[in-house]
Amino acid sequence: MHNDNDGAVPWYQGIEYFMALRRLDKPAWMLVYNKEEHNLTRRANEKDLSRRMMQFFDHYLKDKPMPVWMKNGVPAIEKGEKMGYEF
Amino acid sequence: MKSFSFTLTFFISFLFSSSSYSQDKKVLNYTDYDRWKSLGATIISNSGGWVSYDINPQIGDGYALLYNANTGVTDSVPRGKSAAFSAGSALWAVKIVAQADTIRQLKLKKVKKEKFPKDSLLIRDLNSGEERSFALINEYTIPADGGEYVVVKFDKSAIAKDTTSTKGDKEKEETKEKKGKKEKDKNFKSKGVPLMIYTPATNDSAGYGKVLHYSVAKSGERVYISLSVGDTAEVSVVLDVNPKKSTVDTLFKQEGSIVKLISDYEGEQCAFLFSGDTAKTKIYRLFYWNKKMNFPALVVDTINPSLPEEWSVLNKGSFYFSKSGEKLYFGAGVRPSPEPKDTLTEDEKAHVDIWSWHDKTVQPMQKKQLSKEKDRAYLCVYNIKEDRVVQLESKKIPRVSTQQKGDLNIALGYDNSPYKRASSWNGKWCNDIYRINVKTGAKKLLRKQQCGATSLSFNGEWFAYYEPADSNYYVVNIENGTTENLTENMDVMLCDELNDVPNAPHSYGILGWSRDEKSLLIYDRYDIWQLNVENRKVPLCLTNGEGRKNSTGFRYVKLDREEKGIDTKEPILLRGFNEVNKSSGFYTLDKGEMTSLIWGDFSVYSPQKAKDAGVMIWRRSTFINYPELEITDLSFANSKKISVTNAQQSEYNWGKTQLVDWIASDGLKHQGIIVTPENLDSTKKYPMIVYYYERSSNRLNRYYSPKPSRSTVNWTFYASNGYVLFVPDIYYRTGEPGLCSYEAVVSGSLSMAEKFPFINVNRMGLQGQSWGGYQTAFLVTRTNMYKAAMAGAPVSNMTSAYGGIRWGTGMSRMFQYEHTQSRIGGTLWDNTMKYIENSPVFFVP
Repeated sequence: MHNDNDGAVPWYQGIEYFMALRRLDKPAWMLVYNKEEHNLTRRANEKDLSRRMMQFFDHYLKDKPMPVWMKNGVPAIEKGEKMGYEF
Repeated sequence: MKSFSFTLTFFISFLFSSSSYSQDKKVLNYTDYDRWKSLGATIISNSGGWVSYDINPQIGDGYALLYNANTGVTDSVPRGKSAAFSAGSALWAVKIVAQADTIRQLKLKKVKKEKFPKDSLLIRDLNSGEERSFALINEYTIPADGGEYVVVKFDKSAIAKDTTSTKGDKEKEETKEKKGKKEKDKNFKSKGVPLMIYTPATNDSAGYGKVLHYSVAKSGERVYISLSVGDTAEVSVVLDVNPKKSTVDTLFKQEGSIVKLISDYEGEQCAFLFSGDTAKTKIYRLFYWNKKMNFPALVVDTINPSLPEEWSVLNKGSFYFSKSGEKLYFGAGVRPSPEPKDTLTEDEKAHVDIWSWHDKTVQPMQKKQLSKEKDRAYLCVYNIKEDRVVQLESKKIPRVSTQQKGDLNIALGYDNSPYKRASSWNGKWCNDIYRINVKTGAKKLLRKQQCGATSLSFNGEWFAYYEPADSNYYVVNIENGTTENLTENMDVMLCDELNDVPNAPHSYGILGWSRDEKSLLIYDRYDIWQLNVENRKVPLCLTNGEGRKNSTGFRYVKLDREEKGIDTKEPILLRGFNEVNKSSGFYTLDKGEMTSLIWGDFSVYSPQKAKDAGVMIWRRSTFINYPELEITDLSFANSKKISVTNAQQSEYNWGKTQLVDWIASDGLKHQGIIVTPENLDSTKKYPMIVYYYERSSNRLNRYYSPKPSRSTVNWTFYASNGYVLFVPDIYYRTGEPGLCSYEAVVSGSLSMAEKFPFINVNRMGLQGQSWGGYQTAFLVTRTNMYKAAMAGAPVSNMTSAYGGIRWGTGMSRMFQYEHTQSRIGGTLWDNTMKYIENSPVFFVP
């Protein structure tokens, strides 16, 4: 996670690292909460992060299936309509 | 219109200033920008007898000018814009916009834009000289290829007002309008406006009210008009107007609304999108009409068996008849539906972008393309004779380009999805190209992973492509699918000989096809080659090798926009540019003979030929001479300047350019430009600014108007103010962009200072923007030769910039470092030290 209104660490630092991983074909996802700061402040975003973070660990550490957001991503055009929590 | 001969007034000011000596001349100052004007919107009448253009200051009121080629007299219309001639060259129409100062005052008073004064229209009968003007207009159309009339659509403020005024009348600019908003509930309020078809020769004008859309056939035979009428609900009407016979037929009248209306070229058919839905979210139906029909036919209803079940016609897509009128293209996509009601409050919604490693397009780019992709319309076609609807574009083939103005039965489909993800870093922009049968929709892969230039011949018999990997041109026989290499026996380089980025070089491009469709015409660096596609004889150099022999690049000048294939047996016009001395001009190529028509130390621009006469307009510039408009016959023998755009220039101390070269510390001969003040005293010392980007010496004869800077030094402005400018060409090697810049700039500066004693080597500065800004930032970490440096938008840390985003497009920046401008030539991990060495920020101390 690196949010686009981070006042502590420039957002670009997260972008550059994500882009590096993507360039080298390493499985990686970056969650960018809009208008959020260094740590989340909106409860809805906090719930979203909590759910996705555990789904991520559950997949790699507990052999649970990949949720749709990890498997296929969420295209910008479907943002807000499809959350991709499902498996 | 108060017409006067503008040349006279300008000549007077010219006389005053030419008497002054150069040392008395003014130095360009910030307050002088507004005096510099630019010439544009050049058109020549089909007869060649008239030329029209605009001259506009950077801020303020301009002129439209009308030149009579027979008398040599130029008339001007203050604040004239967007002029047009009729096909028969009997009419000239020009919009007149509000005074700039009036608009400024209204802006100061915070008046809303809708309340600003409206444009008016001036129409001149070129035969009689009579004029008529119309106030409060919105737009006008003169049919492109026939019909001596003007269709005028008025602004809504013109409703129920006298919209015409005769010669000498002042413009009516009052826009008061009463709006009875109270009664809007019951009654339908039309958004239609008045429209008039005016024929100056007969002084006929036919008016229509409540017009929403109109479409003028390019032939001029018909004007189709849609009206929005009705008392309690909207009723849409389509009229078929014959302006030549002044007849009107009502084609359609139904409750509902029309959003688009289009005529074919001839004016024998029209089509429109109509919806009878009363709901806010409307679904449009496609209607089609031709002369043989009593009523327009419903061609695509809300559901059509040839389209996906959830699709309908969309207002958003393209909408046009093919030139011959055999096909009607339209857009369709997912049927609009009302927004679903929210089940979550705003507080309960998460707002997150998920950047996923396998996204083909990175999230920022997806966001940039969102408005285009949302409710996107896909190109479809209605084959009229066969009465058959065919879907052309799809998710799988998202871009289809129709050929020969939509008439060819083959269209080309492009799918870049397999290559999108890697294009973030590999510097390649590739497509799988499909040939699509426009009559049936059948697709066939024509060429997988094509990354270079392509061309389909005009009858669809051949498909040619350039392959960057081996720098060859290939041709596919469309009928039997065979592919042949057309250039394997050529010993001439067909790719960019000066390529200095770590990427496959571009080709010099495809010119087109011969008239008999048996040859592909291509360019090399200098010459034009004719490649026979059938028997693959030795390629013929159309320009006889004259280009390479003289270091002069020859390029074809297309004078007939409708031309299908190039008739190599007839004389053709070529534009030439000499790479060594930067001279240029025009040649004619006739039966293998190259003949120079006009040539010299200037740059040439934009030749345009009159459709029905051997008359052309064109422009040429030097650093000193503004690119004025000239008129000539096809021989250029007596080319005549017809415009005076910046007569005030003679009052000012200007500058001049000269071409220089030197052997740089990379061992190569580089070219560059030295700009010096007009009043240069070679016994004095001048400060020098070095300005650079990549290679700019081809700009030797470009005119730089004094104007506010977007980012870089204005060459003219600096010369006028007593600076010398040096603009070196830079050649780059992979992995050493900074060093290569250093080698060119530093050795060049020293060489110039040695060659020109008037350069003060102790007062030198650097300036560059973007890529030039990067080089500026780099150079000051490597030398103390320069006293001052201005860098615009420099990359200072390539290790960081590599992983960044170009926010303008949302693209990754990686490809620039691995393959294009930044020229590192590898990834951050394979070339870590190169990224660091070339990053100024690490070497600031």
